[in-house]
Amino acid sequence: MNKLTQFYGTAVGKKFVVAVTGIMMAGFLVMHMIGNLKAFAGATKLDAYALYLRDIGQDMFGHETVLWIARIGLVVAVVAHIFTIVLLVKQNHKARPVKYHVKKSFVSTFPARMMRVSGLLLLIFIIVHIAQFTFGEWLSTPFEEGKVYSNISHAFGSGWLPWFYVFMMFIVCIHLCHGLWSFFQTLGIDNPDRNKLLRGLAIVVSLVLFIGFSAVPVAFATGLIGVAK
Amino acid sequence: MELDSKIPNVPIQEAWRAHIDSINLVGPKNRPKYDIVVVGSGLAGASAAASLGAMGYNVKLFCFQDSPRRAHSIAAQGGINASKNYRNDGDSTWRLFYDTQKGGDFRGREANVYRLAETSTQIIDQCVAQGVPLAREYGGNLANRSFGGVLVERTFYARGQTGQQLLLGAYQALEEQVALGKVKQYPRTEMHDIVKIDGRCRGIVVRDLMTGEIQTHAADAVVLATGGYSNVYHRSTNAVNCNVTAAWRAHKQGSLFANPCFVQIHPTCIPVHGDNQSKLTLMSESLRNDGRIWVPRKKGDDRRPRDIPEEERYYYLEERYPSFGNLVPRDVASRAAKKVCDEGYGLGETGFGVYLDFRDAIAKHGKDVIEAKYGNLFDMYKDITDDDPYETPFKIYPAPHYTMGGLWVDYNLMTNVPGLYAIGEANFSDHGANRLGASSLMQCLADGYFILPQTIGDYLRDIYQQKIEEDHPEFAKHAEAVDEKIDALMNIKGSRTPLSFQKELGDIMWNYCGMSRNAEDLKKELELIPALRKEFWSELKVAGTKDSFNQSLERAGRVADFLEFAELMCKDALERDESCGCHLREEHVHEDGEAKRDDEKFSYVAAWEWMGENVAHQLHTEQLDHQALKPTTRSYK
Amino acid sequence: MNFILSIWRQASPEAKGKMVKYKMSNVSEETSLLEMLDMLNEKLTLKDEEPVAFDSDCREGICGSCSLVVNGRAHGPGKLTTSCQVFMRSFTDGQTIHLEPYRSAALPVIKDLVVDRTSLDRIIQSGGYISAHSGPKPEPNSVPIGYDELEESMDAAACIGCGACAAACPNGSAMLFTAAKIGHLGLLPQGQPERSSRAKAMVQQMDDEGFGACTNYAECQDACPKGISIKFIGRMNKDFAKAMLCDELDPRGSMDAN
Repeated sequence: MNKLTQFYGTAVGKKFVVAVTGIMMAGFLVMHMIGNLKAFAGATKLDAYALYLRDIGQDMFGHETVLWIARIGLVVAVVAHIFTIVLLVKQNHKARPVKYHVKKSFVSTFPARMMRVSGLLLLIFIIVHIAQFTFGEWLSTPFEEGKVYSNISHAFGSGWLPWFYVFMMFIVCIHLCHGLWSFFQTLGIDNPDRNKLLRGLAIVVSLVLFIGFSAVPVAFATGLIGVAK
Repeated sequence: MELDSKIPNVPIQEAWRAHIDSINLVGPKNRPKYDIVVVGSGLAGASAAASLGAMGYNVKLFCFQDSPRRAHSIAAQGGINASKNYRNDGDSTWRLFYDTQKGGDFRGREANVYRLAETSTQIIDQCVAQGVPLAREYGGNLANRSFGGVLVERTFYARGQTGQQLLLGAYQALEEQVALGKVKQYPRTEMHDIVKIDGRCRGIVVRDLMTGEIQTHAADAVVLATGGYSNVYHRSTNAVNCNVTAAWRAHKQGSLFANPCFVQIHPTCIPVHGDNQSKLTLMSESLRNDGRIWVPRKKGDDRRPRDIPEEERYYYLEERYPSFGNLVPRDVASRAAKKVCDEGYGLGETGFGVYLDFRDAIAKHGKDVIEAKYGNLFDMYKDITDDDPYETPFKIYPAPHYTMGGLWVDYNLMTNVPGLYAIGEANFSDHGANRLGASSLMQCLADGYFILPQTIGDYLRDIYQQKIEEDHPEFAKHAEAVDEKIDALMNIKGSRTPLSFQKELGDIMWNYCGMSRNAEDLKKELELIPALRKEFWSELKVAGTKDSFNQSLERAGRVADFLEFAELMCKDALERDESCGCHLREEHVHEDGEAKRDDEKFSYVAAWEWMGENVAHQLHTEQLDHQALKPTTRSYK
Repeated sequence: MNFILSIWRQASPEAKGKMVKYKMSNVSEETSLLEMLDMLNEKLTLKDEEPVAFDSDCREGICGSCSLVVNGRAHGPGKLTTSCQVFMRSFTDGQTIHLEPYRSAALPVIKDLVVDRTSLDRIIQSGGYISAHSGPKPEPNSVPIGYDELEESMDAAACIGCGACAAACPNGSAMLFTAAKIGHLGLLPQGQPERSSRAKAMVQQMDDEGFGACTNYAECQDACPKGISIKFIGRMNKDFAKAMLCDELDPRGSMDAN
């Protein structure tokens, strides 16, 4: 334990925590997106998939156990990610008490400079999102436990909500463009040989997530796939 | 005054060992009882402080820069010599000794030079062990390059940043000792005086450059590693803050100043472009390995260099010195450049510049090879001049660079003031009348890592149990005198800035005591300098206050010392009525323009003693003993 | 050429500073930025005003003394350059040039454009060395070092300790400085015995000095006069994590028999 607290006590240690929790969340997003895309396979398939998630490992550990472990793991990652970043931001603020009169950046990318803003937006989004689809009735859309397809079709069928989601997915994309590559850089996995590849990979994965996540709300909003009867 | 160099009376090959075996040492248990002050944090100062700290002495290190790592040793580009004979080309301790003595035109002290050559290989071992990244070949062995004035390849290097890497090695060793509490470092602190008690040097007076506070530090021995005085010319290759102050103030306390007129003018520097220029940038001598130096045969030829055909180019070094060609020693190359420019062949509007051309080398080896060897130098030149040396030749001209003269020291590196040592460029001993390229780094590290740490015990044992603290009245007296001098500078309140005086002095020195000298000019200069000094003390204007961070005051103090020192330099140049190494007296040249020595009369070290304000210096001489190497006419033809 | 200079003036570490404007005219384009400041200081001295304090020494880009932030850029326009190697030809006639000191809690202003960089010395003191006291050492060729390995180490060793990385970093972080030293020594066989302890101590010291953390902006790499790559930061992180998490706490301890 002593080792870990000492490690976490340094800026580099904190960066490691941010990187590792970040990649955990990114991994979750990929699974989430694949699950979402089942909407295109129809209501039955999607609802069955939702049930299946609750049943993973049921025979051995009992109903929803694995799901809850995953959920707790995810919550821990989110909390650790945010908490650590707050500490780092505080450290960084303290490190530059007097600001420059002429403030310019030269090579840092737009996503990199936006990390704090995009992160904050995502935090708000996550709260909205969970309130809406996990805990139910919110934004006055009809909600029924277990009827996933129906729930989302009501939510995305019309109005501004699907476009809010698309915008938020764009923020996810921006956050990950820098975040995914940063994971490799922070852990010292990146090097000049694979820098282009890893930078590219980060952008491709971010774009795939953006497209994949946006596809479902756009499809409902435009009527490409139907609203559940 | 009898100058006792303390060199043992044995053949020079055995002198160092015999000396070490015969002197006193201080045991490890007693070393923490001694306080040693080191002034200057370049290669010599940092390596000495680190070594002495590691041995167990209590060391205080002072430098005027904000960190010891910034000392001007950092700027040495080309390399460091060592007679490792890795190239199997006939190198040996003797060969390095011979080259250094011959390069110095037989005005160096044989035993010192031989010791330097002996120590050279250990320096490389030491630096590699410290993690200095000296260049390697593909097989993993150390690489070498060649330098001017020698026929073997013995120069070790770290790209074009050898001085920097060696200094960082010494600086890191120093910082380790700081962390261990054995060395205390005082950056942004300038030495103003040494304190002598009962004839021995017992401490220093310094000014904290951030607060202006005058402090005193008592010590059992004081080591000056304060570099050279090329900035007496104002524009030189030295850092803008390099100065003679520490050495000069020690001199005024009785320490003899030896051979002050020996100043090396480096042949490959970027020419002067304008009056406001603050310094001259050196391009490493290693460029002469592959570059060819030439001027157009037609005077005032204003064609682009690329358009001038081969037969209209005057490769004056290759024509005049066929066996060494572009790799003649620095003094020879500098004077040759001056000669062609004086004859009217010089380049551009000023007429002070010659070409250093890589066209043929790029054609022969390819751009890649040249870039790998000299890339950073090419980039540096382009940054400064906006010309691309891959496309058009470098323009170069000589500039003041290194000073062979310095405080007189004996074989222990101690000045004639007991307890006061001088190491590195600050002393005079090893380079005679001209220094070969890549030898100054070698000398600084030999002094700091290997010689001083072993010889200092001889003196310290001698003063055992005579502790003196800062409360001794002499310290207060000296501190008061320093304060008064600062007040004097502040209170002139005239109309000229310190920089304007430094510029004027620099011009006088360059014109009358520069690359070639004659009695008439020197006599004239000996009238000009006191006049300028008088004006300085009546017309100077220093900005700010004395008890704050004040760069104007810092410069004023340094210029005041240069103004006194310059006079001694001219006096020495006038007195040395011969030509030798870089000291060329126009009255004494061979028919071909080469320096003509007078060994009968001048085979000595001229050591000058300060006799008081407005009293003429007294000359003491130390006859040079040429037991191993009989002086011959230096020829690089 | 003519310029308007807007310069940070601060009388002492405690004093409050502000930007002050000065006019400079008839500056030739081959004048360096620092030479222009010299000219300004000559003028100010003669007018009985306090000259602008700024650090500089070698004026050839190697000592690391000069430390200006010019128009929001550490060391000014151009790449791979130091403040002293900036020439007026890189500005346009009539331009306003803003000169500020480095801004970092660990590099406090002493006066005007001069900052205190002893924090960087203390980072080196914490472990930026190979312990090898002076004296006879083994023959260097007995430990061959591959060409590329050596050159990579040299890439990192080229750091001049100017602190521009911390000035340019939006977080005021000195990671590149610290990483360069850890990289230089960690890549050499001579540096292996102290590799772990060095990484641990130097990273810790960097935090203790009050520098910020890394957000992988790479502004430091862009401002670095020696072009030191952020790959060394990754290397440092790896060395540090390995030292902290993988190395045994008590490698020489014993274990109970039952």
